[in-house]
Amino acid sequence: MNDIPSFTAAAHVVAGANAAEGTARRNGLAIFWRQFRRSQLALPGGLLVLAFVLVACFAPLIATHDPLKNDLARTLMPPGAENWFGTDELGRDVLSRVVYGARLSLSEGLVAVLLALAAGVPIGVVAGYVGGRTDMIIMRLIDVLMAFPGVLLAIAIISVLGPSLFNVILAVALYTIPIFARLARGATLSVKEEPYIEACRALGVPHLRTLWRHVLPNIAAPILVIAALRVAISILTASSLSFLGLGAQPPSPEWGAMLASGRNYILIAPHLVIFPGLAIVLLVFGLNLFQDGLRIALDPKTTDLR
Amino acid sequence: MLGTCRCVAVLAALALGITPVAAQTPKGTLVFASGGDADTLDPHFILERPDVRVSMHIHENLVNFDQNGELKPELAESWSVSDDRLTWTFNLRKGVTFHDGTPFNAEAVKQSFERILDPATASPRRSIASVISAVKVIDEYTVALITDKPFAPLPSQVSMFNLAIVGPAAKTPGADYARKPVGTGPFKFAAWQVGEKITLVRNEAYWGPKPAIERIEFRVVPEDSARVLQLMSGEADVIANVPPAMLPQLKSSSAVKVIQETSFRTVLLGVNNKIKPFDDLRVRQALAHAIDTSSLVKGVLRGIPKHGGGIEAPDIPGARKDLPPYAHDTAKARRLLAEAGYPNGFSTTLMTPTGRFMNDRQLAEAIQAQAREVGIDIKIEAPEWATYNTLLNKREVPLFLSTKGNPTGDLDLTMHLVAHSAGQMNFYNWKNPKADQLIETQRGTTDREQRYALLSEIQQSFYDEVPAIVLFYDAQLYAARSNVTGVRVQPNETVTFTHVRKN
Repeated sequence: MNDIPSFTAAAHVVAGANAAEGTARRNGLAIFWRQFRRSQLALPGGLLVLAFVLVACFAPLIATHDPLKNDLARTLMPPGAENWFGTDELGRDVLSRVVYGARLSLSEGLVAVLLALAAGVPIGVVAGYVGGRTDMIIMRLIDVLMAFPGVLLAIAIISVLGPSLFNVILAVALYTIPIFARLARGATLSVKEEPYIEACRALGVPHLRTLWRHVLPNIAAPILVIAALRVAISILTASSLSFLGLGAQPPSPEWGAMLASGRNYILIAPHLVIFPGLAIVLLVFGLNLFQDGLRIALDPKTTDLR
Repeated sequence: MLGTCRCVAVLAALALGITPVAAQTPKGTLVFASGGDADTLDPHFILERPDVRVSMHIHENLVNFDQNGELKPELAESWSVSDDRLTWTFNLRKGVTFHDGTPFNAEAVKQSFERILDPATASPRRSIASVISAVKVIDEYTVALITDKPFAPLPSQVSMFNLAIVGPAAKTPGADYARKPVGTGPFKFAAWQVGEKITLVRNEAYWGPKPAIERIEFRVVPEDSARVLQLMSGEADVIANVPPAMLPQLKSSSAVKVIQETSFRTVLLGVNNKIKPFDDLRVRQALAHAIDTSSLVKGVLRGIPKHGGGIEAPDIPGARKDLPPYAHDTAKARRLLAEAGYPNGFSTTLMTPTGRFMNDRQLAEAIQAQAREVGIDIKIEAPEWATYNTLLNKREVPLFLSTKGNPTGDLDLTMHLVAHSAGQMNFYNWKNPKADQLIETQRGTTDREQRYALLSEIQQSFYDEVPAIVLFYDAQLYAARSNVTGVRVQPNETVTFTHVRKN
């Protein structure tokens, strides 16, 4: 988590745009909160995401059954008192599977984005800060990576590494790297010209320290906003890949994998696709709303509109 | 994203299916929807059912099976065997022409057999023809097949789809016969849109009774539910591989009917007898006792298939009907594992195809859960069909879900392929010198009962040594619009549309 900017750091930037250096962080947080609420759906979105996070954390307490336990005497049961979301083709409890699936989907999204951030941001910052040839070489490589359509690249990677949930996360992370690298580079380029960076240079502050203390905090806001969006996209992509049989392997209760096996029964047991499908839709919807609030809150241009 | 899209598409299709849109197919056209496209229409290279279904309408054999499983003349009007049982003489039908107009005669038969026998052709099913050592043209309409050793089941062997008579066009260099087959059958090849459909048209010059329908379209519809929807809406006239769970729905509809037929196909959990720990008989027995086949049949397959323990389906003449499935006994399984030195179980890999046979993937998952009860931790791998076959042929996978059919209805064919140590389908690496010898001996035995007694012994040792765990015997589930009559489904999995009428 070291190089991931925190909310406070980001808020610090917002405050920094108007007030002098050293404005109290509390003040920054308050502004962030007020801005965040300007998007009326951000809070419900955030709560929705929070609900999924809680479900994921407390899955063993919430699940009513063992998500992997077969009961071949009770297959394809419709939702009822014993199994609230019904049972699947092997008699497993769909509710428990959806609940445990939240863990998988959230970690797919978060881990993939964290990995992409950890690799993409340093690459972009270095390219932007150093400039010249280094910049050109790095960015051309990034362009090559970007030229591949995302899912295609992921499929290619998985066909080499073999299908597994972790490889899907790696693949999604890999094709998210260029997005963060470009973003970080662009932001760095504009920050680099700011007087305070020039001041650092004049004072002989080591480059690494300049990057860490001054560049990174000031480019954090846009990256954070995009990161939140990419979490949602990564969850969707990872479940698509699992749907295609490239990700989570049976009997894993991954939502995409559940959709894939449930679609064969869509005519007689639609609950097999409705519940995992709904879970994906709600989580991604919540993340999108939340991300929108974040965008408004962290945009320096909207800060003036009090 | 893709997942959601496809689901939306299915949901949309569902909505369409409910509305009573009767998208009738033209009266002279039969639309058949199945899960997979053909790979080749060259009989000498065919390995898969989707290919057979198409090819058997274009090509014919010297003899073939009728609806009752009896051998009947097809391109040969009669046949006889010499006293030394080494020369089989076939009297050919006169006045038959191939679809390109070339006449069918003894020379054409000779060329066809010599093509599959020629190592340069590289047919993957050469071994099926290899009992024939020479083909002799006696006169224009008489041909003799000569074997080195007496081979009792020869007439049923030549009914095999791989031994269908291909047209002389196959010999032309660069003819691309796999895509432009020329046979003598009741239908001619017309067009092939890969991954979508193959179209056949009626052979107006056919020697036998002409079919009532003018065209057959073999459509590829991989999704089970999509296929059922197409049938319900009338877009398809006949569909293959109806999912068992949907049977009650189809049976309750008056617009469609279910065609259910037993099958010579055994569905089994293959075990590689060379890979540790499965080289130990006790481990194989333990696995057999760990798997509750009756709950697989009832729970996963809705009780549709037949249940039993012998390697050959009980409907095949000569197959053992008295071998029960291994009893589900987890305590015994654990004890056997402990004796074999695995008191805490072990981890292994199971390879399964997806959507190739009835509920394959679900079966794999159910087996995974059952094996876990005795401490065997199974990892499922579900590669693409082509990859699956490559891996199977390499014989390096410890466990695999697999099936074996029997197109000729004679046990020699599959015992030789499956149980012989040199068999092309002995994916189990099972080696039993006594079984090998018995297989060779029965080939020369003309007396039917004697032959069956020898074959019975082979089936017994296969059962005792559990090189594979028999799960059940497949059932063939087709469904048709109720105005379609004359679809013939045979236990050897032949499906014929030649006699179809649409009212």
